[in-house]
Amino acid sequence: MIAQFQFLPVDSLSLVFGGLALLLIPLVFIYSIKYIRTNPLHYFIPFFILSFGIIGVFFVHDFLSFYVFLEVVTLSSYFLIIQPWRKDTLEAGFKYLIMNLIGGVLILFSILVLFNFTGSFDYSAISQIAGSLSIDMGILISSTFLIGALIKCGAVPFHTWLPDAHPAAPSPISAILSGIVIKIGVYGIIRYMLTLQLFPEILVFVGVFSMLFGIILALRQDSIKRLLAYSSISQIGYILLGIGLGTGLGMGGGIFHAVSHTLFKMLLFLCVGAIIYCTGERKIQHLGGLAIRMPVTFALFTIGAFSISGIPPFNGFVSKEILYQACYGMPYLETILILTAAGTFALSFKMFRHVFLGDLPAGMWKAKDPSLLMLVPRFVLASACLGFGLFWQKAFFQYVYPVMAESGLVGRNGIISVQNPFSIIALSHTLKVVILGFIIYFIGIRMGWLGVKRERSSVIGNIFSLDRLYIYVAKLFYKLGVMLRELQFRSLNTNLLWVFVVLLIFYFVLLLRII
Amino acid sequence: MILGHAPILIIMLPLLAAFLTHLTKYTKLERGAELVAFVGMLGSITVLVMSAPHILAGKIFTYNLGGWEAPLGITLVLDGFSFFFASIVAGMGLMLIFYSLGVYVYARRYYSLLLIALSALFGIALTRDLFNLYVFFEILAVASYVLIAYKARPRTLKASFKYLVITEAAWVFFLLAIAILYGLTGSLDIDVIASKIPAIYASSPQIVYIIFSIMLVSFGIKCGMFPLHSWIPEAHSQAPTPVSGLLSGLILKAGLFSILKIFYLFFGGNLLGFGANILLYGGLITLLFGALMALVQDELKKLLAYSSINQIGFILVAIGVGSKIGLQGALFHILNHSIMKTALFFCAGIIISQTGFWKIKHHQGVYKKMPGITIAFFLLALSIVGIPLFNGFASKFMVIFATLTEHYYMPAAILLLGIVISASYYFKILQVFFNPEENKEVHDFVPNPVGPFEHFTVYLCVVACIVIGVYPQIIMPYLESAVKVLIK
Repeated sequence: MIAQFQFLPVDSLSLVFGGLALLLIPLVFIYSIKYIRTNPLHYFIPFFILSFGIIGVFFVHDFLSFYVFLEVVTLSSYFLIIQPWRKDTLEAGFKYLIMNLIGGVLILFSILVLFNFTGSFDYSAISQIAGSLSIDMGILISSTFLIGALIKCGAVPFHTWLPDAHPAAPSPISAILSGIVIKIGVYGIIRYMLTLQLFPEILVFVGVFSMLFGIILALRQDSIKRLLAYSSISQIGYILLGIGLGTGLGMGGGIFHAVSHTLFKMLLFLCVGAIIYCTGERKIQHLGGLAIRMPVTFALFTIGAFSISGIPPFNGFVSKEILYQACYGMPYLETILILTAAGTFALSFKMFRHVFLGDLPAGMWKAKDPSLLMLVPRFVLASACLGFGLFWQKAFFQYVYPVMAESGLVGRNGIISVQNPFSIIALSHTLKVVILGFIIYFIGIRMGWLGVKRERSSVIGNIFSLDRLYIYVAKLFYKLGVMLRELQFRSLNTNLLWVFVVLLIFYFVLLLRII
Repeated sequence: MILGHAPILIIMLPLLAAFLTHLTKYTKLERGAELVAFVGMLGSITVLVMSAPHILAGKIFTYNLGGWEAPLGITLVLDGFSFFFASIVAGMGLMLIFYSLGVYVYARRYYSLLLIALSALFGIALTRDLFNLYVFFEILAVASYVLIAYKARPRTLKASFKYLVITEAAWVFFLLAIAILYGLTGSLDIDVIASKIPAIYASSPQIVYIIFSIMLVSFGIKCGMFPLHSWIPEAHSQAPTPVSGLLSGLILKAGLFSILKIFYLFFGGNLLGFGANILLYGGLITLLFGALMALVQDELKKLLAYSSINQIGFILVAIGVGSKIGLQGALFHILNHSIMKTALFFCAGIIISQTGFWKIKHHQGVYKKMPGITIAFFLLALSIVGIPLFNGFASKFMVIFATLTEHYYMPAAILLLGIVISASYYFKILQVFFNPEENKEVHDFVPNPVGPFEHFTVYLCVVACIVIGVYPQIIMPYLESAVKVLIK
């Protein structure tokens, strides 16, 4: 009845995500040894449970175990997010936990309904029976599963927990959350698409919205960690767009971009962590001129920033280029891809200019590159970024391609037609992105949109804020409770009267067969 | 053969011990009452453990009191179903005595009453006679009135009085229902009546409806079904800590257990097929009500009491669904909720006795003072919310699974909503506990010393939660043998 966890056989999709997690978690562990200075037990116990959950979630073989490990991940990462145990982190963690539990519960509902029809939780068993689902059931199952997984991966419009939770956590945990944990949602969606193939078009819309919203909001942030968190939302949009296209190339590009994003976003978060570790400051206004004081961090950050904005020859460039190829013939999507990439470039440039260039603030003369334990993980990640870019053919065909081959998403001849991304068209894309990026940056800085100088609060932003909407819904439940508490009768007479009333209600319900 | 007398021994050993506790006054033993109580419970547990393999093998121990056969005499039956509830009573009863051992304020009277309540609970589990069931419920009620008001302060007396009036009103009706049934069938034995009910139903269904609604109301009051729950919050929060555990862990469960018993043994399950819907939808309302009320409570023990109402709703839904897995899930959740909620009340009791504050907002920074208990509270909260790898998940999963298998989509969605709301109120508490800023408010209060017994009991319950959660198969055979009795 309660399923046994089955870890074998491992298919190539598990291998892509799980293998990556297996390799990267130890790096973060090495980094944390130095980074975490107070209360190591509070940090490392949940850290190991989180690692256990992540490995489990990627390598299990059925949806129920997937759900079980998903919750293990949610809970242990809650403990890591609230890490310094301050009021603000506790609140961010609370929001994270509740929204992710809703996501988890929706996934549970979906897989149980699915079980009702297919009689199995096993991925491969479900994919064989999936064709016989009726359309109503298909809508019920896929809407609940997709919403659950989209909450987990922080896509717009379910992203509101992400910009609070990721910056609240200690930087190595932000790296894991942004790099690996939100990929669990992506992995769930891919797994679901490969087993059921229902309604992929929705993902294109969600992806496009996430890309645009994420990058616009990211540009406005003044905290370096919040900024990266919002950019994660936009990068998740790329991945969802690729998956939603439903073609082999789109799926391949999506998975490849997921891998790329994991590498460069972890690199960026670990670099930002080093900056925070050395300066204790995370506001962009209070930083500047760190390139001289922290040259190694600067170099590594440059690699990550180039990679995220799609500059050759790094991995971000290759995966974005494959997505361009997948969107070939759809001018709207291509425009959106270029716009988002330009925004990302502007974002990177903003960080360059205001964190690493410019004047060094008075208090930061003593800042210097942190020791070896915090450098080695970033070196490994940076070289991986470069390696995946330069040897993209090996990476794509030996690492990502088997997923498509196993799921039958490849073309008739058994080969996905991927052109070499290092071509003239691709370079013209890059040129467009760089020029547009500079334009966005300079217009933004002139108009004061980028939040560098002072904090701006806009009325429109508050009205359309989804965060407020969700908080309002949550408060509605609370108000309902308050209302019930006020209504509740306290006198003994009324309570006794209710006993008789209920007796009569039961009798008449039975007599008249009302329900 | 001692096992032939197993049913009566299980009831009588604690009852005997209850009277012996008073005699310890004349001995030189320092803590004689505690020792006697402990030995009495251990006796029942020994009998239960000895009969366990026979129960699993499908044997049924029937005991006729005084040698009178079924239509005339009282029959006690120890089958899979009653064994399951008796085991819960035995296990949690031992935990209650363990916890009380550490608190020195409880005297002989307390242990004597606790043992009487426990032996009444054993009786409720085992008896197959309707009037006998009534008598055991009354014994239980009388013992628990006094236990709730044990501290004899105005608030506790008021809570106890409310409990007394409301439950007694129900038992008067229950007696009426028994009288009607006796008049119709000439017997009080549940099995005998059950065989005659279909004929009565065929001739005049209204009478069966009346009996059914009366019984549902009486047991609904016991288990806290909305809107009959009014005694629960006050009684739970005013009672001494172990008694709150007794109320939430066992007395509410006695009501649920009796609903299962009458519904499936008495009315044959299918006879009132749509009567199950009352339980299903009543359960849903109870669940939502408990969840929403718990969300807005500011007292720790009251919140736990409303959380009990929330979980009771969950179990009622499972009983209403009524498939094999649904009933297994209901029984499993009865077991799990007993363990979790009793331990949560113990945690709350320890925290309150250390800080002297009843409100949640005053418990800021409890983690720094009592890390062990706070972590235990955290794990128990995870378990009761239904996070995987804890026992709460195993049973909640079975219930939701059964609900969906019977194609109740909307109820299943509400059950899941209940999980989310319960997560939010438990984590609201934990947020306060983990907050590093300590409570600034000062009041003159001397904390009671908390001994190893209290901690030991809480940790034992936590270990049980995790073991059952990771490896639910150890409970499965007992669930199967219990449900086999209900669904033939």
